[in-house]
Formats: sequence, structure tokens, C-alpha cells
Amino acid sequence: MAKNNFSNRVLSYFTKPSNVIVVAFLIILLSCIVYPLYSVLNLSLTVGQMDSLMYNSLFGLHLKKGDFSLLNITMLMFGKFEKDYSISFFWSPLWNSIRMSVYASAIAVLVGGIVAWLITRSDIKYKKFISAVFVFPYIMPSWTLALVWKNVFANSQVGTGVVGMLESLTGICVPSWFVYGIFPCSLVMGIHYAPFAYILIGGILRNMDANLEEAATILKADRWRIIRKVTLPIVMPALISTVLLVFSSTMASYAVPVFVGSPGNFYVLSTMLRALYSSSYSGQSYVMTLVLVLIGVGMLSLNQAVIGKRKSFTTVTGKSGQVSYVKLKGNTVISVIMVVLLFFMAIFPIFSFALESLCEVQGDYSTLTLKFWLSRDPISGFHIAVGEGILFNPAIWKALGGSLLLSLVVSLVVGTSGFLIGYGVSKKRGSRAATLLSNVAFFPYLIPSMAFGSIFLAVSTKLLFLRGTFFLLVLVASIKYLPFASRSGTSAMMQLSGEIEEAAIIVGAPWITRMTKILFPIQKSSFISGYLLPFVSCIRELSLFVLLTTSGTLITTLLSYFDERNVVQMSNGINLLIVLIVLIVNFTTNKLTGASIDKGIGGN
Amino acid sequence: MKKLLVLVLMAGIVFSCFAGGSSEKTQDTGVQAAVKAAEKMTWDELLQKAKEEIGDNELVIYGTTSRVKETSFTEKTGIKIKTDQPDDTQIYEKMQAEIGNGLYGADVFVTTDSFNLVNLAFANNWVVNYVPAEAKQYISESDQNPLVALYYDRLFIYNNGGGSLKNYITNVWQVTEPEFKGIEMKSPLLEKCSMNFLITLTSPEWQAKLAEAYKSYYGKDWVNEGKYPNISYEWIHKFIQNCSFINKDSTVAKDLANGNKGASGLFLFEKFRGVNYSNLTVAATEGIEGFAGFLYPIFSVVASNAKYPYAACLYISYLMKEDGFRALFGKDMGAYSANTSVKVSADALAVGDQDFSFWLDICVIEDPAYISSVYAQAYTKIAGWCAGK
Repeated sequence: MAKNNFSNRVLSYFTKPSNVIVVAFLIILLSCIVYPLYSVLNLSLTVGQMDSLMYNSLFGLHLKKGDFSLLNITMLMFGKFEKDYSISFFWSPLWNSIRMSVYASAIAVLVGGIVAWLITRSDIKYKKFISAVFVFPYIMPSWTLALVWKNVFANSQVGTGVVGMLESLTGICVPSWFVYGIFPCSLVMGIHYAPFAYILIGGILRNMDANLEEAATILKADRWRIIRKVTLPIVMPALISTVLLVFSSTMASYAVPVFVGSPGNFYVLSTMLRALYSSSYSGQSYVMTLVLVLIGVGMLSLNQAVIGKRKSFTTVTGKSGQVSYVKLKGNTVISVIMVVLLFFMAIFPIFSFALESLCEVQGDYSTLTLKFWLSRDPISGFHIAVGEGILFNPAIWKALGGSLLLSLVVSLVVGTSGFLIGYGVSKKRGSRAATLLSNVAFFPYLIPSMAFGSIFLAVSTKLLFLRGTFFLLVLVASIKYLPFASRSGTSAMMQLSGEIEEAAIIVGAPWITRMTKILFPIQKSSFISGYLLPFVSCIRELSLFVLLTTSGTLITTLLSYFDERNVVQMSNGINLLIVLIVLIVNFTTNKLTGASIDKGIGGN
Repeated sequence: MKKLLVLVLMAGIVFSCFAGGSSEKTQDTGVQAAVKAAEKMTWDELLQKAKEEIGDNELVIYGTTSRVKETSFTEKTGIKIKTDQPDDTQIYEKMQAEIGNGLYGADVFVTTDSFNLVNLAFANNWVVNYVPAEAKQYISESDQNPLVALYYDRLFIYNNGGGSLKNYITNVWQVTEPEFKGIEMKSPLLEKCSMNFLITLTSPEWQAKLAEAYKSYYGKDWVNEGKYPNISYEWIHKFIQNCSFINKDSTVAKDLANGNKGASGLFLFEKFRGVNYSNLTVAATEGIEGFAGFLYPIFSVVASNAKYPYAACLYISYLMKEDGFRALFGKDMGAYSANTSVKVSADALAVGDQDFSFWLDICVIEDPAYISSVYAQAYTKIAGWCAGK
């Protein structure tokens, strides 16, 4: 009898799609995420071969590879060998990372949130242009924005005195802290992630019922009070998700601090992690990875504490709503300022890439040529074999094909998973399983890309069928980018009131119909973002794949190959190609589905 | 969150059941015997044997230098190659991940960093040393095990302001002075050969040379006031404080060539070829007391589980031959074959390079034995200074 009851309960449990989704994803994600986490923990608490050589020599021990030891932790964090070593390698970079991430998050949310509000809630002009162009900084790899910053602001008073564009055109020399250090790092990361904030916050604002704000207006609340008491609380999930993701991304970012941080002696955890990874103290690099993960866990806990206070964040209900726009004073001036700022943030870098790819002599704009694009003969004059121009270069087309295929497969896997996870988590909200799934889906984001790639390289030596395969790249990228889609899917699903699906259940619509014909179309803009963001992230990703594939496999590894060898015309041209491809994908998605990264938030 | 962490730890216990380490020391697969046999063959004999062995397949080469991608070997021998270019950390990780787990990845490694090569790769029998018979008499004993294919040099170089600045760096202690704040070099934390250079500098030989240069520059003997273990550490610490660490040599070259008069750096002489170097002067050409920079070796070894060991030995032989060296490394300045019968090219001499013997006298050369004896202490101290700038 008891056995029958149990099996009936189990069967009954699995008749609900949300339960099936939660359990299935929990099993998959725990398998794919717990092992890497365990690897990081294991490698932090044991010594590698070179670690053992070093520690035996420093402390007179007899450790062997694989022995348990706390030395990785005590030496890195608590000055076991020298206090200065800990301060230099850990505490100082940690403080720098936290400061940089806080500033970048603030900039991203402020800039992205303001633009999202202007697009969805005001009558600002040129909405279509602004909403289309504002996502460009996210499409471009963050390190290229850092390079453009350096190209513009480097001057004869800083470093070796290379003259940048600003001094070249105007004679103005900005101080060194403006060119290198925490200021450019925070600003570049903030600008890079502002579109992120714009997409998430704007998606919520667009679908929010304007009656809520109109009711407050009728009750004579001023604009600022309405924002504080009505708008902000409702966009809180998106706001907090944005802060979390930008903070985490900035904490783990590597390329920007290398380009505009290190020359100013500004070091962060990721640059130190890279240094330790390359050193004979690789175990300490895993300790640092663990610290990054734990910081992320702390942020997640904060998220839970904040979100947990609210019972509901429903904004999309069965009732109709209409948007009313705030009339801006000085609309034309504000619009023009926005367009000019966007030009420098989003269009000028692309223009810069194009120009650099046309210069026969790097930096000399009087030597423009199309050969780096159109030459059908191998281009000479470089110390490496460059091959034909970009549009006729077989190596470039092969790498591009690889990247496109990988990005497409990853975006399909991740986008669909994010949508399903969002559904499962929102339906089972409050349950332990749903909370666990939501947290586990976010975990990969906390592990730096380079470490993540290394962990899966180790995994592939145990699971040989994965080694060197396309499937391994798909697996690694899918897990790494799932957080974007799961957060986006969860936020979007939480906005939907249960009565919408209940109405469909009452009329007998099966689950798949409810998903594809009702829920997905309502929040289409947010869900499609869940497909587009992994695509964009994957096509411009480098550090995740660099250990798992060769330089000719993907377009970014090929870009890095040319950049490392100072063939900047080719690297800038490939960079431009990546940006153009994403724009074309965005445009095509818009034409086919009516949705796009920018359209979902009010760019009519 | 607590429950998640408990879950992780429980999963760890479960996984630890499966996490048995594989043997890192590989067995003799016949590669060692093949290499021993190859060491007695002439080029023609080895070529024939290699072609029979490899057929139409590809020889896989992992190299930390982009030059391994050159196709001249294939043009000469007809043997196809497939290359990859990991950095000086990744190449050892690949050895560990592949050979350490009994997996085939590459046949030949062309790599830097004597410390990891000796204490990791050779210690675990991941690689086998091969010395080509025909070149052996021209390679010094110290360069034979492990085999050095060539040396690169990184030198003190400055922007001469279109030729108006001369004799700007004449003593190595100058670069520790405030006027040289911002001197560029690739970070020793990211480039093992740079770290190995600094560690080698702490040896008794270079302590003595630094002491001479100190006396010549400051007019008095160096006195150990207790702050540093020896004179070399003082030079290293002050030099690091002055340095601006850059992530690529080509960036350093470009910055200096386009920068202010007097801007200086310690970087690959070879990178001259990518910039307009009429603005650049190598301090050594005007005379510098102490040392002019450092030489670091590029080693070439056979994978202990190579699929095509004879073809691998043929490739290494090619690197050591004159035509091979010229095709891959020798067109430009800054590269010197360990085969002393292969001289610096006329083109390189014409743009200011010198014979290898010139650089041997005035550059710090990576000393694998010394480095291994002091690595832990020296690395930790120097790395801490680099990170704490």
C-alpha cells in the first residue's frame, strides 16, 4: 500500500511539465557543473608537480604531486612565505577588482537604465537609431573597446609617448590616470555592459502595464516618486540580475585590465590569476578561482535575500495596458546629446576598425588600400604568412564557418534551456528544487572563462570521446552561457501572471501549445534575447576556447593570432567582420520574427 | 547556498572514487629506440626512413614560436606538417594532458623554459632528446641536452629621436634610475624566459659583473645593507619598479618606434622587422657595461609517444641545418642557431645584428642548472615584486 502511494506520488509529480523540467535540468547541470567545481576545490587543496617542487624547496617538505596541503591557501592569502607576496598577489588585486566591478556595475546600470527608460517611457527622438546602435558596445569584444580607448587617449606625456588621436587632432594631453588604471577599466567595462542592462531593464519596462504609473500620476505623485515607488520596485529583478551579472563579469574580466590596467600598474584578480596560472604555483590560481566563485555565491545570496522580500513581480497580466510617454523638456537637445554620445561609444570604434584595416602602413591614414580585404594573391610584407585578403582567404572563411556553427548551436541549446529553466523556476518558485536549479544554472558564470576551459580540458582527458571535438566546445560554451539565458528566462517568466496559462489550461491547450503559442510570444522579446546574447557572446569569445582548440578553428582565435603578430590590418578587419555578422543576424532576426535585441525594448 | 555547498562536498566524495590519477611516467613505446637509431643516421638516411614511416600523414608540431608554421620543411622533404602554437604554459599543460595520459597529440615540441622542460617534461619522460648526427660537432655540450635549436635575444633598445640621441644607455645601472621610469618590457609573470633571465642574474657570475658595473657607474663599491640578499636582487628590484609591463613584444617595439626620444625597453631584437626601426638604437652597439640584455634558448624535443619519431627527428635536423634555420628563423635580426656553423645572415648584419659570439659575451644566458637550484626562493621573491608594483 505504502509502495503504491509512493509510486503514485512520483507519477503524479512527473505529470507536471514544470517538475520534469526542474528535475531533468538539475541532473544535467549538477553533472556538468559539480565536477568542475569539485576539480577547482580539489586542485586548490592538493599540490601539483611543480607546486610540490616549489614548496619542498621553500619549506623543507617532502610533498608529492596530489598530496593534500593548505599551502596553496596559506601562501597566497596569509603570507606564509612572505607577507608582501600575499598583498601583491591577492589582497591588493582583490580590492582593485571589487572597486572596478562596483564602478562598472554602477556605470552599466545607470547608463543602460537611463537609456532604457528614455526609449520605453519618454518621447525622445531617434529611438530607432538609439535602440539599434546602443547594443554595439556589447557586440564588440571588450578588449577592442580598450584598444580604441588607448588609441584615442594615449599621449606624449604618458608611458613611451605614443601620440593618440586626441593629442594628434587637438594637442590635448590627458593625465596618465585617464589613460591607464581603474578609471578606464571601469568605464570601458561599464560601457561594454551598459547594453546588457539596457536589454534586461528595457525588456521589463516595455511590458510593464502603464496603468500602474498612471494611477500614481492621478494620485498626484511626482515623476521622481513614481520612479522610486512604482517603477523601480517592479524592475527590481532585472536591476539586481544586471548588477550581479555585470559585477561577476567584470570581476572575471581579463583582457580590459591587461590593455588599460597593467600599463598603469593596476592589477586585478584575473591578471594575477593568469600570472599564477602561467607560473609554477598553478595550485594558487585555483585558490583564486575559488575566491571568485565564493564572491559570486555571496552575491547570489544577496540576490535571494532581496528578491525574497517581494511576493510578486508580475507586470504582464491578462488585462490590457498601454504605454504613455513622458514628454521631455529640451527633447531635441537631449536627443542630440544621446546621438553624439552613442556615436563615440558605438560607431566610432567600428569606424576605427575599418580605417585600421585599410592602412597599408599601420596608423598612416594616407596609405589607404583595399588589399587587406580584396587581394586574391597572398599579401606580402609581413613576417608570417598572411594569405589572401579577408574576403578571399580560405583560412578566415574556415574559421568563420566554425564560429558561426558553434554560436548557432550554442544559442539554440542555451536559449531553449533558458526558456525552459525560466518556466520551471517560476512555476516552482519557492520550492527547494527550483531555488537550487536557479542557483546551479548561474554558477558557471562565476568561474573565469580561462579556468573553465582548463577544467574541461582536464575533463576531456578522462572522457576521451570529448577530446578535441566540436561537441566539447558546444558543451563548454552552453554551460558557460546558460546563466544569461536562465536569468533572462526566469525574469521574463516571473513577470507573467499565472492566470494567463490557467486560462489556456481551462480551454484544454496542451503544454507545448501553451509554451509556443502563448507564453513564448508574450515575452518574445526577452526570450529571443536569451538566444541572441549567447550567440553574440560565443562568436566573440576567446579565453574560453583557447585551451580547447587550435588557432585556426575559430574566428576569434584567428583574430588573436594576427593581433599577436602585429598584423593589425587583418585583426581589425576580422573584428569588423564579427561586428557586421552580429548586426546582420540581428537584422535578419528582426525581419523573420519581428523581434531583435533592440526591437524588444521600444525601438519602433 | 549552504545546501548547495554540502552537495558539492558530497559530490566530491563520490567523484573522488573515480578520480584515480593516471601514471604520469610513460613507458618506452619504441620512440626512444627510434631516436637512438636516428642519431646515427645521415640526413638522407633519415629522410628516407621518415618518408617510409609517415607516408601521406601529417607530422604534428607544437611550437611556442609562430615560425613552426613555415612550409619550407614540407617543400624540401615532401612531408606534410600540422602545427599548433600554444604559449609557454599551455605547451606543458598539453604535454601533461596528452602524453601524461597516454594520448597522442604531437610528435615534436619546439619550446622555451628550461625549468619546466627539465623538471616537468624530462622528469616525467614526456619527451626524448635528439641530437642530429651531422650537426652534433658544431653544437656546444651545454646546448645538447636538452637540445637547443636556436637563441633569441632581448636587448636594451631606445628611441634615438631620429638619430639625435646617442650613447643613451651605457651602463646597466642607468635603467634603475628615475629617468628610466616607464621602461617597457614583457611581464616576467607572463613570459617564463624573462623570469628565468632575472633568476639567472642572481648567480655569482652575474653578481660579479653587476658589481663591476656598479662601481663604474657610482664610483664606489656596492655595500650590502641587508635589504637584499645580494647585488643582483637590488638591481632586479629597482629595475622592476621602473618597468611598465606590456603583454606583447610587438607592442613594445611599436610603442618605442612611435614614442618620445629616449623612450626605452627590453624586448626582442627580432621585433625590429615589424616596425620602422630607424628611430631605434640597440644600446649594445654603442657599448654598455654590465650586460646588454639576455639570450634565451628555444629547445626542440621529440614526444615520447610520437607516432612518427623518425619524421620528428628529421624536422629537428632540419631546424639545425643552415637552410632550415634560414627559412624559419634566420631571415631577420635577433635569432642565432645553436649550430655554430650557421652564421648570422648578411641581411641581419646589414641592419645592425652581430655574430652570435658577440652576444654570448655581453648577454645573460639562461642557466638551467642554476635556475633549478634556486628557483623557488628566487621566483617567489621576484614574482612578488612584479605583482606588487
